[in-house]
Amino acid sequence: MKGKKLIALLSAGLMVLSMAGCGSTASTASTAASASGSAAASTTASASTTASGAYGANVDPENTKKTDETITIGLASEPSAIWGAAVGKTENEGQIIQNCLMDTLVTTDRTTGEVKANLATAWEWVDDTHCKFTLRDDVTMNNGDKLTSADVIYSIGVWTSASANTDTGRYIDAAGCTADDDKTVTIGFNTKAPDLLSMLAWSNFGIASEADVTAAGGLEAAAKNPLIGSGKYKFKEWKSGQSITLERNDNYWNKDYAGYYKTIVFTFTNDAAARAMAVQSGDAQIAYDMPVSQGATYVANTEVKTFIYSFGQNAHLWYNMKDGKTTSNQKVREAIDKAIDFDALAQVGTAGYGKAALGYFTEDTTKYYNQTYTAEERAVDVEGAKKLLEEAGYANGLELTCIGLQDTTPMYTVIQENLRAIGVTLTINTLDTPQFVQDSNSGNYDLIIVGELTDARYPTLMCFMRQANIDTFVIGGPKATTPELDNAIGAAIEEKDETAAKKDLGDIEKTMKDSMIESNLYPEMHTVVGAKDIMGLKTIERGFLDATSFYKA
Amino acid sequence: MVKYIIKRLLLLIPILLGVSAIIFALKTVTPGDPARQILGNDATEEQVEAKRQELGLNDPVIVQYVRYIAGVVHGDFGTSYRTGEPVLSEIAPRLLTSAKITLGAVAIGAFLGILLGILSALKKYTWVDSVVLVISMFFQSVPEFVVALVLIMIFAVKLHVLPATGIDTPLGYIMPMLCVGLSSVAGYTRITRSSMLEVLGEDYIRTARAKGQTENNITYHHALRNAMIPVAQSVGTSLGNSIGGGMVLETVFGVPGVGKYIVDSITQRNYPSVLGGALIIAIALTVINLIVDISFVMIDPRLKTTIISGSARKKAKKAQAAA
Repeated sequence: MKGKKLIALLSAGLMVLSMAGCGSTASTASTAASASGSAAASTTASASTTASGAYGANVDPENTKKTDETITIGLASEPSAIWGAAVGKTENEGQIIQNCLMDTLVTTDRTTGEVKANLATAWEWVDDTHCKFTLRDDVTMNNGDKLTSADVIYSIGVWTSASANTDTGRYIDAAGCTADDDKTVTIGFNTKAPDLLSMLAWSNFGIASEADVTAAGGLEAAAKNPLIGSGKYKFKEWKSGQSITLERNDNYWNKDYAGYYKTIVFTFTNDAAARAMAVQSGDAQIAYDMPVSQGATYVANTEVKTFIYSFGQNAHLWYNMKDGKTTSNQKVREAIDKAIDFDALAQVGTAGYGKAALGYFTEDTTKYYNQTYTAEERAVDVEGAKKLLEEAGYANGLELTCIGLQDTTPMYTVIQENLRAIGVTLTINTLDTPQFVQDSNSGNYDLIIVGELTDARYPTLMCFMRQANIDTFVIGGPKATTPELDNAIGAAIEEKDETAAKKDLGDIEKTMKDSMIESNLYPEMHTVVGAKDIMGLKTIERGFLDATSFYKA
Repeated sequence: MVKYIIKRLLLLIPILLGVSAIIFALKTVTPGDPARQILGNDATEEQVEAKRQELGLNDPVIVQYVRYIAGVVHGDFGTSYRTGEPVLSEIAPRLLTSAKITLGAVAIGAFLGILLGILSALKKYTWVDSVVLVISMFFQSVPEFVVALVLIMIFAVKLHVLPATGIDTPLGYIMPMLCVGLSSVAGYTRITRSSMLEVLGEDYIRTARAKGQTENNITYHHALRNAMIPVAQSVGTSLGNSIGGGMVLETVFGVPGVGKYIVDSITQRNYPSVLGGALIIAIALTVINLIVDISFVMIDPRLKTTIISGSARKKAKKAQAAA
């Protein structure tokens, strides 16, 4: 009997061991991180030393070869529309796919921020709000017709009508746009902002022809079945819930850079681990939108190539300065800033791939980056913080609340611990997206972490402190401003001279520092896991993938 | 029998009303404005108010609920906030995918469970019995999503024989089916084992042995057929569990089924889709249960007698009362 029990126990043990063995890849990978991590990490480290400051993005040479191969890109979720601008949507996944199908008038060099020619070969500001574009004459639209200025005017109509409530349509003055001739078009803007040109490189500003849209069945139909545009790829098939397939556009105007892969297949898998394993198994070549916190694990995994990169957006901790809020007291804000361990926060927020931000802008955006803090000023000063709280009348401590999504909880936990040391009890409210949007809009928080894309002086720059915005659509921010600050931001956006603009922004940042409106935290990061031999990670907009740029080593 | 079926079909009405009422109530107490969600964060208050009016969101909840139920009766399960498409047209193709996985999972679970159950019963109180118990309990204890990731690691990453995610090829169905199926093996094993042991102790089995029947004939011809009745009943009830398990696994495996659709819709606060998906699953489950119950009556004549005699007794009582 004892022998039988022993056998049963042994078999149970074997089951457990086999389970552990099955799951050993992750633990092996972790072990490898310390053992062979230096070799794997050096791939990204070398990329990190480029001028862009990015970890492995936008640094590969461009590819000119073409093959008949297919690349499969795993996305986290399925977009509700591919041509978002046609239905007033701006979904990240939609932007990525749309970018393959539609060309914009200009593009931006993501390493320098320079605006480059695309469908437009040249442009010239006619006055502060009108810019004249000269179009290429070798571009064919989906149906084979040549691109004309009428197509641009039609597209502008779509942006300003279907996307009037988003940034796509908000800043264009449709009445001020004219087709000067077949290849020249003037675009009117309703706000002064030289960097609106950079915004025109966003995929939602893609150009479509009316004939293509009509043939596709109108805007609503074309948004989901986008046989439109003049991009490197053409839409082929959308299997709902499964995949979207694109095929290389053989009539693409730029013959040298027409896409290495003949077919791009986008698949949709919510689970990040499953997306990464699809790459490891060879079913997919790219897993996008991986949690940065898992970045180090994948860097250590020699079966895949991991890209971790910042994209021009710092995370900021905002203090709600509305009247009646505890955080409207500057001494309280300063006390919190002094108590926070910014280095620890950066370690958690970037998985060790970024460092504490010393300015409002990221260091990647060299055009506008000002170092407003020294490293010494970012050191933790618990005693100083306690003294400030005492002066503010909170010697016995106070209670604060913060709101965030699931991904910010680890950072709030660090802040919570830091604040505990000075007698501040922070309650973390982790919300789902709709609730977060609602609460952050209405200012239902004391503290909130929200980042801002600052790779150009968009008309939305520092929108958190513009009087026109703070009670409307802005998510987070101080919920209060001054006319001086508001005007200064407006002037910085309108400034034509880059050097002067950088100085203006530096002055604004100093004001923000002096008033302790927010605390700069760390550069936000994207993580992409790719096949071992994949090359050519380029990004668009907010660090989204340019799915057309990949090639094999 | 016909009356029994009609009675069961009528019972569907309060069940579905209950399910829809609960989900509808959740929608009303959950924070967040659907109109704001449809129009996006940039829409003005006026636009949001106009949308609320258009969707009838300003009406009392009971009016909204009755309107919704009236729509459902006419086959209108609402329109997805996210895509603007009718919920039913979005769910229909996904339902087929989920059905394939569920049926496959039940087949795998039942096959392995019955096999192990028989083995366990025939080798009762031996080390084989213990090993079977450990194996079946193991798959019941480990969460399905963990098993899913382990299966991906083995069959996709290491062996490269199955796709990690998606159902582009029929091979894509294997892991989700296996994953859901393995979790139900323990249940089938236990029921088969106890049922087999009970039947093997019956007098007619002893008689068969006395008549010189071979052990194989006794086991598979006489004992197994009778032992399968409770197993068949558990197959029916496990369909519901498999659908539930499939919801999580569809998300892990990237399978475009109803489960993934509902999970996605929940995170997007896409209420019409959540409500429609849940109702359709509820309808499917109750119909499946009905079919299973009817099939039991077919399989087990004793049940038929019970139903018929039950109604006959009621008739007699009524007649007695009337007299």
